[in-house]
Amino acid sequence: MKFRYAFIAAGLTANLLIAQPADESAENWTEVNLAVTDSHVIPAYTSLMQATQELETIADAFCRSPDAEGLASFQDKFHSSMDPWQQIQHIQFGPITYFNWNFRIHYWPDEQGTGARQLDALIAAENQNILSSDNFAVESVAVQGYPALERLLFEADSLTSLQGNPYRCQVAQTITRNISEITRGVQTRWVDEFRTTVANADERGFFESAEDATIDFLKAQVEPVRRIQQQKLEEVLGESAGRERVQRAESWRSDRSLRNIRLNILALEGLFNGADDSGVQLSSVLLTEDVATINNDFTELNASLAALPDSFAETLEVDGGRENLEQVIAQLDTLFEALEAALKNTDLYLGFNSLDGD
Amino acid sequence: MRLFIVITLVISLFACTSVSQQDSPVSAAHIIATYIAIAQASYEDSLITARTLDTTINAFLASPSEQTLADARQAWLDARIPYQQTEAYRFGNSVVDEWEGRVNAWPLDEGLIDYTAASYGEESDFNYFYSANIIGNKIIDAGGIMVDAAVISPQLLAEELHELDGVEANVATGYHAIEFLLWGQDLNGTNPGAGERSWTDYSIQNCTNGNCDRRGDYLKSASVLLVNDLEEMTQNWLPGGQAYNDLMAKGPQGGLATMLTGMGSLAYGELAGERIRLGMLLNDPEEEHDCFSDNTHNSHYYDALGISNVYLGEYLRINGESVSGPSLADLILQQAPGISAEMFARLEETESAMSAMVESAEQGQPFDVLIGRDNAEGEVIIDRAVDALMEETRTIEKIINELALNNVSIEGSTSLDDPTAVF
Repeated sequence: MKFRYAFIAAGLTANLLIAQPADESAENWTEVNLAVTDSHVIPAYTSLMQATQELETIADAFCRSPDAEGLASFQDKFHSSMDPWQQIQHIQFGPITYFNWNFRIHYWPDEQGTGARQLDALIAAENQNILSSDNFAVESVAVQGYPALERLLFEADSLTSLQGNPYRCQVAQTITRNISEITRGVQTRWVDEFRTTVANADERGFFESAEDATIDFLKAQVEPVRRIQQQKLEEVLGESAGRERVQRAESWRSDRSLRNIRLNILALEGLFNGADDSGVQLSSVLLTEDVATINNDFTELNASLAALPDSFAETLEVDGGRENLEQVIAQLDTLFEALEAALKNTDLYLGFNSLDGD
Repeated sequence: MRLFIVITLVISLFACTSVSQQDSPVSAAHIIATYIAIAQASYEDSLITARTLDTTINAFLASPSEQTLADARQAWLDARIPYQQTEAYRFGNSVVDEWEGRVNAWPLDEGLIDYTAASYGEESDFNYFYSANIIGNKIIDAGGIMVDAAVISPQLLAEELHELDGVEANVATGYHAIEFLLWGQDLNGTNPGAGERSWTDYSIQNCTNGNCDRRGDYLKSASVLLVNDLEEMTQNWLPGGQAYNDLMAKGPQGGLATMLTGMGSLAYGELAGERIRLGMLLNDPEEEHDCFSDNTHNSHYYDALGISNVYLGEYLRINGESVSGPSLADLILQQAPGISAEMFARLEETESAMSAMVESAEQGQPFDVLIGRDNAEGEVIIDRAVDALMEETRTIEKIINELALNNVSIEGSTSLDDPTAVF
């Protein structure tokens, strides 16, 4: 498997090259880029920002008087902020890459168990100084975001642990504040700065051209499909029946691994087709017949995912559960191949990607 | 002599096909011949140094002492120099990529192999065998999988333990398993200092940490496997070998695309991303490539040199001999002088950035110190290396465009992967 830490390099790149631009004028590229920005990216980041602000508020309320009802509310807000994150996780360029924000908000997969080791050490140290925003921001990315928060909220003994150790609850509060600050930063910079960068893409700026910006959106369209297939499903299913390893799944502690995937795919379909009536969307840069094929693939994939519960473990417990997931894997593969084939028909070249690596 | 023979063979196979103008003296066939000659030489050097390592390990196990352990460690460090230069051959050549996990898999959950400190922990979400400790346990049983490890042998390591339960971190063989057995865990965190395993861990008379006989069996088995695996890969690059044949079957355009894929994929996702930047993000000494020996700076330096070797068509063998010939650099200089100048500048900056990392290590700040939480100077050194590799990758992309190779299918790389493409 060569896809470990696929997100690691994603934040490294900005500009990608186009070998032979498709037959589109610069104005058309810009129109597509702005349509995606205004109808997809900024609304998604705005939803995320609002949800994480609520998460921060509920964390403060819970830690003032931690009880079972409060923890349930905290967990609910964890879910309702994870939902919008899963719907914009595919964008791995632009402000989300500033200050390592993408890794800080969600470092996963953590195959070495780094987060567990570092979170235990951090709590054991009980150092108040590291809980300030500035100091916490330079802690390891593995303790700063959703996976660390999930570990604090969804263990069997979470309530007693949080009740019995105020510092543990302070760490949970700090993580929610950190996530909230990050999402506010990302949303603000898209609105205030990066939309303009996208609108004025030329060789003098971040992008070398408007086509270059489109390539980044296309990369956000294509790469996650393979990533979801490999990291979120195949790694968990293992080589054969009986070798499933649910603990390798994303968000397994909060039992929402398949809900994540369902939201990922809906969001990718939204990126592809746009959310307004302008008729201009990312799919506009592809050939019409390829768009039809890809949309058909999305439809089939969404239907399969809609029939599954949120929980990976629950899915595997029923007869035919593994086969259902194998079908999703096959459909993801089909979608990925269709996207790649469509790109070949346009001569668009996505360049080296972050999926190469151990 | 070898390069001449290879060029003759390759040119006859490609019938003088050129990727450049008809009258161009730099043909794809010549360039690919140089690429093969360097592969042969660098894998052969890797094999030679692995055999030396094996000899020193035999001597160490026959007579464990501080000196014989130091000799084995030095042989391991020497063996890394040619091997790391071969890594530019990994991505793009599927026969190499599929084999690579046996010799250089990383990162590893070393608790699979031997005892670890309490700070290592006992559990991992990803790995039921995180702390299985094969040397200390003759039978392991977890996750519905039982392994009889009563006899530690090359077969046990290669066929049962390596990537056990489909987990890549279950690294039972290769350079890093041997590194762990020679150095032990580096318990210095992000402070200076490498692993400090005592030679007595292998002493039958004065055994420390138990199971010294089984530890010796493990080290010997891993060493034997490393030599066997490198023999196999060296053979693969000779005429008629699998890697050689696969490359020939790709044709001239496919051959050049393979070279550039290997360069870009190593520079970007692997080296800049996983091996360098990740360590910085996690401030975690477990996330350094040669984490037991603190040799990471050299491994990174020679990785980068390997990329340069492929582009320039030059390789300096461990015996001082030079292997060189027509190169991508020659072709690009002829066809696109602007990109050529840019690529030379990129390679120079990468070499300089990597040298800074090596110099830092030699002055007491190895990679795991550089990635420490509050090491601002270390972050500058790390960031410079990452930036240099990123810029180098962008220029490699320009070269791919310039040679119109962007639609060429390369199995084994997700970057240029389209199984349906025909060339």
